[in-house]
Amino acid sequence: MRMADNPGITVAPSQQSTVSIQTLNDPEFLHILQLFKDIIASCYGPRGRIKVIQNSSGGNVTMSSLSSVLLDSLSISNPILELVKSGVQSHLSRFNDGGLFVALLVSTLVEKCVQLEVPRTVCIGVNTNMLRLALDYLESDKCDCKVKINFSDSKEMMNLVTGIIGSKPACCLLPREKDIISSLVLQAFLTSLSSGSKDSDQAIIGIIQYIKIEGRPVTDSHLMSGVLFEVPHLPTYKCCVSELRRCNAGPNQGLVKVAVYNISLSGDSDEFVEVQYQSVSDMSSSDMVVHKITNVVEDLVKQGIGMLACQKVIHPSIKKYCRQHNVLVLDRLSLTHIKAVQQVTGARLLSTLHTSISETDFGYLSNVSHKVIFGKSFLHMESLTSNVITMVICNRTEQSVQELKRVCENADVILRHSLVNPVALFGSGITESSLVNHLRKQMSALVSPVSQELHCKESQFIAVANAFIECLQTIATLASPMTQNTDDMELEEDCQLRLDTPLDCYTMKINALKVSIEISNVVLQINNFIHDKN
Amino acid sequence: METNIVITQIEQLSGLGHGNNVAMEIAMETYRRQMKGDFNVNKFDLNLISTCMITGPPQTTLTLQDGLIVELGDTQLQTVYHIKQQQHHQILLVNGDVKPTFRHTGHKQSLSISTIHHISNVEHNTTWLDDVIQVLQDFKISILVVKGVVDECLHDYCLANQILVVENVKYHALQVLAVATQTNIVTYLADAIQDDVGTVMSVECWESGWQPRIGVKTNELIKTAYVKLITETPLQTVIISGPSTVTVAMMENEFMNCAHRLQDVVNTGKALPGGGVPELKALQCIKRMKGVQDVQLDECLSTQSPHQSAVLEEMEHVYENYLCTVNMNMGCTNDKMKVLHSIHQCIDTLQPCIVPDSDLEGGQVQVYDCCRAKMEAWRHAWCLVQLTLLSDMQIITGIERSEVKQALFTDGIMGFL
Repeated sequence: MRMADNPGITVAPSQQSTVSIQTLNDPEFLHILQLFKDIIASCYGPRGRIKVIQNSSGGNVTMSSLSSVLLDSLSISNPILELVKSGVQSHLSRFNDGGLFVALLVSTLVEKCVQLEVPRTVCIGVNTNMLRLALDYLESDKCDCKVKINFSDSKEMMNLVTGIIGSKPACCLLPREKDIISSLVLQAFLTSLSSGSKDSDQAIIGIIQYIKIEGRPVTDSHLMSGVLFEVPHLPTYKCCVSELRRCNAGPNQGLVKVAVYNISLSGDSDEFVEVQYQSVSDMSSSDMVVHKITNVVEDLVKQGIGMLACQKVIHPSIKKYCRQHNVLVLDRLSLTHIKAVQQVTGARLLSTLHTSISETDFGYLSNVSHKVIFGKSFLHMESLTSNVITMVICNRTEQSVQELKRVCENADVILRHSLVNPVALFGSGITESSLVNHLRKQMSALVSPVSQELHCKESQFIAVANAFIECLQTIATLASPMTQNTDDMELEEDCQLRLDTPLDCYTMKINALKVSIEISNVVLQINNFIHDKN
Repeated sequence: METNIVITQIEQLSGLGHGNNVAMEIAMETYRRQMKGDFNVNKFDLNLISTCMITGPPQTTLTLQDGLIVELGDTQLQTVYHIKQQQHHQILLVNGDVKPTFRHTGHKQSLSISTIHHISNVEHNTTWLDDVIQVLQDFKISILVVKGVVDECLHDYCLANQILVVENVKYHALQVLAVATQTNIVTYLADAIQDDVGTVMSVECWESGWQPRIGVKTNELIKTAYVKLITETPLQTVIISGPSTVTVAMMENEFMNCAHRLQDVVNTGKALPGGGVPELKALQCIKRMKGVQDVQLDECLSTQSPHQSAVLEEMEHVYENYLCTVNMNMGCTNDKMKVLHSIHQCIDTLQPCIVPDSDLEGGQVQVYDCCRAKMEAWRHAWCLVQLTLLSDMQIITGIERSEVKQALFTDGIMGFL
């Protein structure tokens, strides 16, 4: 389609290309890097503050200090910062935590290395060696900031969770509310663990669903077993789930048989070929599809289903047919809930109308009930065998409940990682302080061999190594709950640990260190970056 | 601080209107009728109250009528006169149009087919009409209440068979009917089942008393017809009339505000005195706390914060300003200094604040507020203040460098990422 054929679209005249070349040493780039670092640093640690982000044309206001939210909301045009952002997001995609640490370490290290009068290759080599030294320390048994997680010790587990939940000011939690939410998150995680079936050696980790309720106090938050799904079309003034069809006999006697579809049952179909159709009689494509769906659903009803669930939309006439046969209909589950419904029922997702459905494709529920919670209608689906949990999260404002939900999800991810590797590191800057002490002591042993390896002067090695250590020192200061000036800070030789010291996931921290140094080294390898504006 | 209200003293709650005496009186009358004189039942159901707006009359008025009153097409008057003699009518509620081409919101037509008609094969598709008529006959429907419009053929059928069709009904009225008849609102008429059929006890014509105008091109009087539906569960309609849509909408808001306040007080049994009384007591508490050295307010802090006295001082100024504003807005006085002086006297003597020389001193109605709404408002305000104080930076996205004027950023830090 040519632009000229489409009225209303004006093609802007092409402008002359302009090419600008920048280096890492340019004051403009350093200013941008400083700004980025200041934004991240002001979110980090117990004194971190919230950022308010809004588009210039108005719209939704985002208030958060989470790195995932900040980086998604910021419109970054500088290619170096885009590189840093992608590195942070790659770390977050695995761990959901530690994004601020990565962004801060990268931006601080790059800034310091660029300002040193040391060749970049030397900086990269020294950074790599210092990282190796740090990792050797953290992985050794002599590391005094490492603790083995005892899953039977609820206090330790709570410290791990509180370390994540308590560090986000936008949740607006009082100390007792922090404890309530931490205990709910931990309870949900432990309940979602299952030993699986007798025939299988594998443990099954269930899904935790989150329901947000705005305008209620945090203390109203609670857990429910099974899946809770909001159904606004069910009126709150009467119970709409009266008698469901249940299995009469067999091993599933008394249970509700469920079929789950992840395709549209509303009359449109993704299986039509994109060509022009002509017919000789009045034909409606939706009527044809609905007729086919009706045949399938009649077959399902004959097989005794008590509930029909669909990720997308179900046609009203299908809903009517189901209601006439006491079959409960649940549609618009969306990607958010379909997995949880599949897991709680144990059903196989059906993706087509054109195959026969066997008994193994169905799932089962022990109970389905209509609940009115805080003035809203919900459908509560429970199963005796599955370990799906729903956490109802309440908070006063839209921003705070949204932030609290994200934080609870992050905490759950960290707990799951801790299952694989039950080791934690002390938070609040204690691990970073300990690393700084160790690196300062061990640095002297590296001076000579690394300088020879990198063909550089010993003074250059010391300068870069000190810069590396200062970056960790800055992070330690920001993370520490004590209000100390970075310049005047005296590092404590012994880590004074309290019983309620927050913990960080070990795997997450190691990955964060590795990703930070890797991204920093990639950035330091860049000589020029070129803008082509047209 | 709460004032526990005994329901028999409902007349005292006129102070909940905050000056909207007419709307408050109608709200209280609505409650009285709903309870049918039994004031021991602590429940006021707003789901059984509807509103009907009449634009045109020169004065803004509110009146209360039993039953649900909705606007009616003038072709239906004859049907109303015919069926009003009967009792117990079967009713269906439809959220949408009753037309063969109507589709629910969100429906996607993924495939369009062009139909080739041969002259000899032209025939009208009557399947939809047959299905719908079958539903009306099976369930013996005599009233059809529709949010949208009804197909012409179906309209004619209903007219011929004395089935009352009420079109263009707002969704809230449909909901009120659904609650009263304990039925569901259907999207497609053809999909209705027995559970969706409700019962209306009686139907009447209702005259608004307002005659808008004589037709421009004819001499006929253009008059809006209304129908009143009476159900077993007592429904009520508040008739709001006014010269313009803006005034009518404003009165509706005022009435709903009053009704919600009354509902909260009735359901919780608690009310707070208004007019700044809770804020005055809060001010008195702050004064007492300032005088005590070792008060530890914040559970986050293990010791008393050094900034506590400064924060309490500022909170005191905030409450004083609030009380000044309330008193001046109440029409007590225009002199802020006089109000402040009165406030300080009241704090010192721990007496309720009464501004001297106030015109309202003698005949002022005691103003009340909803306890729950007020407390939630305070909590919400605290939450927003907390969020604001915890924020230190505003980031605006979507601005091009060329759009930025330097003058806007003289006080802040500007930068582009």
